[in-house]
Amino acid sequence: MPSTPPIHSTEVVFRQLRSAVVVAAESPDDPNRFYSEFLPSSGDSDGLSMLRAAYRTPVWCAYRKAKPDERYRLFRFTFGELELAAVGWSLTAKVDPDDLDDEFGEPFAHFVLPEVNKPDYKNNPEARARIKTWARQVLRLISAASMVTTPSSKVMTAPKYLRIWSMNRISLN
Amino acid sequence: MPRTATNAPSTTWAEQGLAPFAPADKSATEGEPKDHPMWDKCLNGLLDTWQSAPVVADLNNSVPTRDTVCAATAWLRFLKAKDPQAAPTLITHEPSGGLIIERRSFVDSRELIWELTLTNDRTATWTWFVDGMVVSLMDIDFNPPQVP
Repeated sequence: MPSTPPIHSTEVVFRQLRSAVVVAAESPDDPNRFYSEFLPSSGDSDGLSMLRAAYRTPVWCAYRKAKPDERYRLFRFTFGELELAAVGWSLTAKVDPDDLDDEFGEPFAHFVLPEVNKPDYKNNPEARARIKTWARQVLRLISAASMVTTPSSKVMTAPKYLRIWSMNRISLN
Repeated sequence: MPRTATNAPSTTWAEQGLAPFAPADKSATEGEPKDHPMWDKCLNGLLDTWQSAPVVADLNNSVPTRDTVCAATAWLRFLKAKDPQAAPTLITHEPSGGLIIERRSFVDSRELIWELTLTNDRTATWTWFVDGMVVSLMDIDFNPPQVP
């Protein structure tokens, strides 16, 4: 039975772009509009969610079982870049299977950044300052090449891409 | 409104630690500056948000409640009264529900950001960044002081 290897600094990882709802912006290209994508939400009690490109294709990374009709855009980083943004502290990664991992087994693609968790962000001002700084530093790493746009759900159908995703996993094992 | 009144930090403003960033007093002979167009853009954006905003917070949604939108509007009015030229550069949703209002500027080639975060559970945080690093973070009142 395959196991889930540890995450290395050179490994490519994805972050789903959740909302990035802009109420008003002086410049439509302002990268700061993505700032909130790197702050923990209510659901990130264990840490901010990320996905490993080695174990899930971009198309499946852009999918959520809970919202099957939506496709999310993705940010693409190496894990080392996210570590670099953690100035004065160490960012770690913890394997944390999600719905798709539970369905298809190891190696798991979903992991969290435990230091970027909502309870600390909400209750500890020092942690909040650390996480806010990290989020701003991550923004500095964002370039046009960081953004991965996946085709819309009208074009992509789950069964077809399930096969591609499975093939990807097989080829890496 | 008299310029001396808008430029003089209120006691609450000073108590909240925001006074050092109030604009310097200007000469009485200087012409009245025009409001920055972003003020209207921000207020219009908040109005649009308010129209679809829920009354009760949804923990699984970043959408701000009507209370949060109203507080953001009041803060904008307060900040505009303090410095009409220092308009926010961006307003976005807070991931757990709420609004993030921020202004980014450059001084001596250093990036300065102030950020006001208002959440649906009625907390407010004022944060200062220099070159992406937090240099000051404080919890403040959800609603702003009265504009003098």
